[in-house]
Amino acid sequence: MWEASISAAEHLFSRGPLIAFAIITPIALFNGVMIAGGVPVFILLLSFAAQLDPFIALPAAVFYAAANDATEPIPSILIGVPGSRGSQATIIDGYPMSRQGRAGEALGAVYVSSLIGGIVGAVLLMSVLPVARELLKLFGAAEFFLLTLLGIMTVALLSSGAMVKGLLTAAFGLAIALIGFSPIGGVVRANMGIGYLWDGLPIVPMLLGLFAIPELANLVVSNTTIATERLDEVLSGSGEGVKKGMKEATRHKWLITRSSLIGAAVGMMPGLGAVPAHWIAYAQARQTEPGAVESFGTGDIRGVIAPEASNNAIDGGVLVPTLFFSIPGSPNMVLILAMLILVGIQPGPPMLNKHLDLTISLVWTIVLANIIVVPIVLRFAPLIARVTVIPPNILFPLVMAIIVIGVYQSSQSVGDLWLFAAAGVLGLFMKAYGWPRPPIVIAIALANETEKWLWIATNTYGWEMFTRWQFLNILALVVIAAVIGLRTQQSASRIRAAEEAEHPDAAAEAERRAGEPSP
Amino acid sequence: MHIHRYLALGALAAILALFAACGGDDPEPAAPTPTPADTMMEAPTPTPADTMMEEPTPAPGDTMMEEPTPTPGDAMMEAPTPTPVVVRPTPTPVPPPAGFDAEEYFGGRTIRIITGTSPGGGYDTFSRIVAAAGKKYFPDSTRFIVQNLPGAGQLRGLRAVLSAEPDGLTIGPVHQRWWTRQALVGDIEGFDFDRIHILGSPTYAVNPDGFCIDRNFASSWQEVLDKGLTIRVGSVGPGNEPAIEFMQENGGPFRLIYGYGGTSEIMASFDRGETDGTDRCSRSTAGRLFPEWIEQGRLVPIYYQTAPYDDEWMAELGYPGVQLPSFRDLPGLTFNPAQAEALDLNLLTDEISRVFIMPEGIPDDVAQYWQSVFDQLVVDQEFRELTTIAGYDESYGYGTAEDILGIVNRLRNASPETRAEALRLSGVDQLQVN
Repeated sequence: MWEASISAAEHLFSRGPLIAFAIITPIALFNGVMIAGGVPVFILLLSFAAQLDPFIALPAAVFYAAANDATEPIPSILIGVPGSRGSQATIIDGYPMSRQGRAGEALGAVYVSSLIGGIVGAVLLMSVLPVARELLKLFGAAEFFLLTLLGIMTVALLSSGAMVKGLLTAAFGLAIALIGFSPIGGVVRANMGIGYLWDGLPIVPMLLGLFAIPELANLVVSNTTIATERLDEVLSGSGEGVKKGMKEATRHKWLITRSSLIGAAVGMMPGLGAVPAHWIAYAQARQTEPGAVESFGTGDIRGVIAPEASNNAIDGGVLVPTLFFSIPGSPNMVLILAMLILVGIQPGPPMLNKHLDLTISLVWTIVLANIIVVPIVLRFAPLIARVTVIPPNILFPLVMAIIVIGVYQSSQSVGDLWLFAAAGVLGLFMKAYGWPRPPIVIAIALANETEKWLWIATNTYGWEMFTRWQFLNILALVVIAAVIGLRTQQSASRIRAAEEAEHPDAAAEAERRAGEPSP
Repeated sequence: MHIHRYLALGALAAILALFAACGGDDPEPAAPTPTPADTMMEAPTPTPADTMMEEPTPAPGDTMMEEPTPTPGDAMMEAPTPTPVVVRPTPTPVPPPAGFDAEEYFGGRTIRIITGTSPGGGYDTFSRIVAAAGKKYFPDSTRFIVQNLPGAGQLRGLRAVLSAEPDGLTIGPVHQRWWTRQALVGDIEGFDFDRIHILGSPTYAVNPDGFCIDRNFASSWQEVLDKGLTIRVGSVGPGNEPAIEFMQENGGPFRLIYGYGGTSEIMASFDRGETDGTDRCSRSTAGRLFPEWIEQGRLVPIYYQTAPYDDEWMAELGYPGVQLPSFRDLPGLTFNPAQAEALDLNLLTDEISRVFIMPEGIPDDVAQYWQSVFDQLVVDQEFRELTTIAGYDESYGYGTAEDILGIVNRLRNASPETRAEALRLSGVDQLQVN
C-alpha cells in the first residue's frame, strides 16, 4: 500500500497530469457554472482517452468530475436552479440566503465544507480500500431498497407543515417515473405511444423545468433582482460575507464530518448514486442541529453546509463500486468506467493489486482537485455573488439561454425541450399554490432504483430479509426518520396554529413557505 | 475591472501549467498500461489477474468444500477428447476497391459513428473502440466522432443511421433486439436487411457459454433435483436469458430474478450470495471480474447453451477432463421439439450483437473500402486488446454479413408457430416502434 502510494504520487505530480489539471481547472469551473454543462466536456475527454496515458486520462477525468462538482452549488445558491442532479438540497437554504443578500456568505460556507468533505471522503476511501470489496458484500438488494426508501423518506422530513402535500407530490413523482420501458416486466408503460417516452422521463429537463422556470418567471414578474437586501454589501464585492461564511463553516466541524461520512458511505453503495446522499445529509442536519427544524428553509447556513460537505465526499465513495465492481456510482462514473476500458485498464480486482497505484492516484486527485479549485472559487466568490444584483431583464434571457442549451445538449432531442416547458408550467403552478417541488425530483431520481431493488429483494429474500441484521439496522433508521418526520409535522402544525391565532396574515405566508421547502 | 479578474484566473491556470511543465519530473517510463490481450495472444491460455495466479491449481475455499476434490455434476460426462475452443476462423479481408482513392474521398472529412446509447454505455464504448482502432485505416486528416442519440431502446440511433446520407460517412451498431424484431415482425421502416450495407459484428460469438451454480448452494445438478432446490438466477429482464426462461417454463428448478442493471450487478449479486447460479462463469467474465471465485473453487459448472467450455477452463474451474452436457440433455427436463427450435433461434439471435451497418445506397467502391477496413479492424491487435478489456475476449469472433443474414433469414423463414414462440421468448413483441 505504501509503495503504491509513493508510486501514485510520483505519477500524479509528474508533468503530464499537472498540465492536464492546469488546462482542465478553468474549463471545469466554467462548465460547472453553465447549468447542465458538465457532460459535453467529459465526452470530449472520452474521445481523447484512447490516445492518452492512463495516468493522465483517468486522473484528468476524476479531477474534472471533482472540480465540476465543486462548482455545482453556484447556480443552486445564486438563482435557485440546480446545476445538475447534485446540489438540489442546497437550494433550500442557499437561495433564500441569496435573496437576503448573503450569497457570498453561502458560497464561503459551501466551499470550506466542500473542501473538508472532499478530503474526508478521500481519507475514508483510502482507509477502506483494502476491505472495500468484502465490505460491500455485506449489503444486498434489501438494504439498497431501504436506502432509496430512506432518500424518499426525507420528503416527509423536509416538508414539515405540509407533509401530506410532500407525500402526494412524491407519489406523483413516483407515478410519472414509471413511464417508459420497464426492464423487469419487459413492457413499455404508459408512454401513450410516444417514442420519446420509451426511455422514461429524463431527469435534467424535469429538474430544470421545475426549478428554473418558476424562479426566473418570478424575477421577471416582480422585476426585482435576486438579492433584495444588503445590496450595497454585495455590490461592494468586499468579500466580508465570504469570510463570514468560511468562519461559520469552521464552527460546524462535526456537522461537516457527519455529512461527509454520510456522503462517502451512501456513495459507496453500488447503483445508488449521489442523490439520496445529499438529501439524507440535509435531513440529518435538519433533525439533529439545534433549532434547525424552525430555521431550515429560511436561509440557515447549516442547510448549505450539510449537503455540500456530503456532495464532495461522494466523489470518493462512488469510485468504490465503479473501480472494484464495474458498477458506476454516478452519471460521471459511467464515463470514467468507459474511459478505463478505452485506456486499457481492467476494472475489478486488478484495481486493488495490479493497478493499486492508479487507484490511489485517483483518490489523491480528488483531494488535489478540492485543494486547487476551492481557493480559486473562494477568491472569485464576491464577484460571483454579484450575479444576484443583475437586473432581471438581463439575467433572464442569459440564464434561460444557458438552460435551454443545457437541456438540449443532454440528449439532442426536441422532446427534452417540450418536457422542460411542461415541467416549467407544472413548477409554476406548484410554486404558486405552495406545493413542494423537491419530492418530485427525489422520486423521479430514485424511482427506478427503488422499484428495482424492491423487486429483487422480495424475489430473492422474501420474508427472510427481516432476519438480516444489515436490513434491520437500516430499517430502524427509516422508522426513526418516519417518527421524527411525524413529530416534526405535529410540532410545525402546533406552531402554525399558534401563529395563526396571533397574526393571521403572517401565518398565511408561513403556510406558503412551509409547503415550499425549495425557494 | 471584471475582465481583469477573468484574466487573473487565466493567468493563474497558465502559471500552474508552467509550474507543472518546469517543475515536474520527467514522465514515468512507459506507464504500465495493462494489456491482457498481449498475454492472451502469445499464450494459448488467457489468465486471470496475474497476482491471482500464484497458486497453480485453484484451491476450493476451505469452508465451502466438504469434499477434498471437486466432484463433477452428475450430469457431466468424462470427455473422450479435449473440447477445442470454438473460435471463428479469421476471414480473408475483402480487398480495397481498385482505383479507389481513399485519401481523396475520406481526407478531411468526418466519419460519424451513431450510437443509440448515452455516453459511457456499452454500445457507446464499443463505438469509441472502433473509432480509436479504426482511425489508422483512413487518411490522417479523417476525423471520427461518436454521436450519441439515446432514446427508444436504441431505435432512435438506428433510425438516424438508416436515414443518413449514403456517403459512407455514417455507420452505427444495431442492438440485437431490432434485428429480431424486424425479422419476426418487420415493422421498422427502412430497415431492409437486403438493401442496407451490413459491415458485420465484431462480437459475434459461438463462444463457450456455461451455467454454474454456487458450491455453497449445491455441488451438482443431481443434488439440486434431489433436494428440491430452486436456483435463483439474476437477469436484466425477460428475453435476456432465453434458455433459463425456457427451462423455468418447463418445470426446471430455476427462478429468474429480473431487474439487475447488467453483467456487473448480476455478478455482484452472485458474489454476495443473493443468487445461486450464473451464466457469467466464462473466462472472459468470471475470470476477469471475480478471479477469486476460481481460486476458491466456488463455481460448479452444470451445462452449456451453445458451446462447451474448453478443457483448460474446465480444469481451472476444478473439473479437468470433464465435458459439460448441453442444457437440452440435463436429467429431469423434457422439451417440446417445436419450442426447442424457437429457443435455438433465440440463442442464435443472441450472437448478433453490435452489428455495424451503413444505410442503403452507398456507392459500391465506398462500401467495398469500408468492408475492407472492417475486415482488418476486427482482427486488429489494438482493437482486440480493447475489446478484451471490455469483456469480449478471443472467444468472440467476427460475424460477417452472411452470418448475420443467415440468422435473420432462419428467423424469417421459420414456421408461424416457431416464429410466434421465438417472438414471445425474445420479449421483442412488447417493443413499440411507432
